[in-house]
Amino acid sequence: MIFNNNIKFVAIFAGSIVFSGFAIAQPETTWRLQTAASTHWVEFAQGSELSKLAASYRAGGYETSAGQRVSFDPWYHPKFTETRLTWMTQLTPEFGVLWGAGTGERAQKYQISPSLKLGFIYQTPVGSGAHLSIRLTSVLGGRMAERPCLASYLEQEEYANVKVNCRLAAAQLQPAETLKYLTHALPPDRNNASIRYTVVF
Amino acid sequence: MKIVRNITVASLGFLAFTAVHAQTVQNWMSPEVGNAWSQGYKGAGVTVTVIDDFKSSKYYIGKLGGYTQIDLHGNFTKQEASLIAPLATLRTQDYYAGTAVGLNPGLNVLNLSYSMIARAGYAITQIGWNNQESSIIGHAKNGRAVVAKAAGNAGVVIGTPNAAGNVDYLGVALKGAASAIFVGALTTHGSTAAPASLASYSNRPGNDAVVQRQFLTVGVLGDKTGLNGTSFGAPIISGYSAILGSKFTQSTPTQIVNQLLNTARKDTIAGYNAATHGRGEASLTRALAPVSIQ
Repeated sequence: MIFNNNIKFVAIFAGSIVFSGFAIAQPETTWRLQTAASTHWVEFAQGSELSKLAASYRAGGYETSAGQRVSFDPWYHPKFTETRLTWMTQLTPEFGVLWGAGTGERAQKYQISPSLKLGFIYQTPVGSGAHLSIRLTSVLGGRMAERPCLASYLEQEEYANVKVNCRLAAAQLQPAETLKYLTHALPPDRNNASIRYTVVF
Repeated sequence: MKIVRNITVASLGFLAFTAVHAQTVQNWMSPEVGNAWSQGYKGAGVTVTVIDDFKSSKYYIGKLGGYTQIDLHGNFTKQEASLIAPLATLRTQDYYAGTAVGLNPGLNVLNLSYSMIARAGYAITQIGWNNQESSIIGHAKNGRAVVAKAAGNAGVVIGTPNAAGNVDYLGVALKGAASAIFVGALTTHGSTAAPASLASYSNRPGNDAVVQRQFLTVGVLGDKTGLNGTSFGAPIISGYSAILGSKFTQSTPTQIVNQLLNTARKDTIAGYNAATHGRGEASLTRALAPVSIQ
């Protein structure tokens, strides 16, 4: 497992919430794992970095050589936005396994494949009212693959129904060159490590 | 019979200083050029040969590369083509050289911002072309090179006498040639919101359907460059041809020419009619775009 893709260090000093001049201490139990061998739903997310990327393609378009507008929106508009769900199964008071899945996403000109998320979380006290938690997760699958279009140019046989990158078909690139710019990407957050230090006072 | 080579500048600009020029979209270029450049191909693999005045002592003042310069007509037309298609290979030949114009491997574009004038009344078969013009006419008729020919600045129909009673016989010879384009000048770049008009000096195709089919217009922004005339329209088409040639590497010169002609816009020209505007205003964006896509 590679942990260096997305490393976060979060130090939270919980409980210093001030209302009208007096402080309320946030309960210490907020940051403690609960009972062993229980499963909790911990995350629901609709949309991902890759689905945001695909959505950004929707705004584009160009005209054909005859002046007809070609909009990218129908090509990159999914019927269903990728949804990710994550659960945590707590095995000990300090240790839990994170697991989940993403539905993937599909439109006419791209697909984000379904994904599985696996990881763990470990939490340990590091002093009075302080905890250190480490969370490591990895996403399997979830690759985005953009599909080419078939374009015809110049009413010329050599350029009839050639495969092109739909978004770059009207650019100066040679039609075959545009295929190099098709998006084939893994989720940028596929490996995630975070360390959280919490002080409750 | 006396044939005179004539360059086709309609007016001059003012003096200033020299500076560096880069591959930037100049204020006289159509916005479509910048859009087309965005993916990097700018005429690579195409040879543009500019046949023009590179040796006389007749200097002009113009501002093409963002700075004002004093230069020969040919250096301006060459610079203009290179600014549109910066990665094209540029070659020059003085228009008095008289030697056959050779072609490089790959797509060739010949820029002719000059005319060959003689008294009206001769049949084209009576004109004794030298090797230079013979080769150019041959390349155009046989579709071996894109030939961008300035339409002329007499404000008359191509092939008819100007006010002095002279005719551009090079234009006459290129009528109906497979890969030749006559380039007329619009006063500005047209749009549907602000359509452009043909410059008063620009020659036009008239009622000859053959000339109409090979006549294209572009905006020549003399107010920005100090250089008016169809001389400065032809290099724009030469540059566009080079850009198209760098995308459509399997296309012949005739196919490149047809693509420019077939994708010209009529809706960006005020009061469009074929006798005045030929096929319309050249659109690089549309020429690069697919006919259909799915």
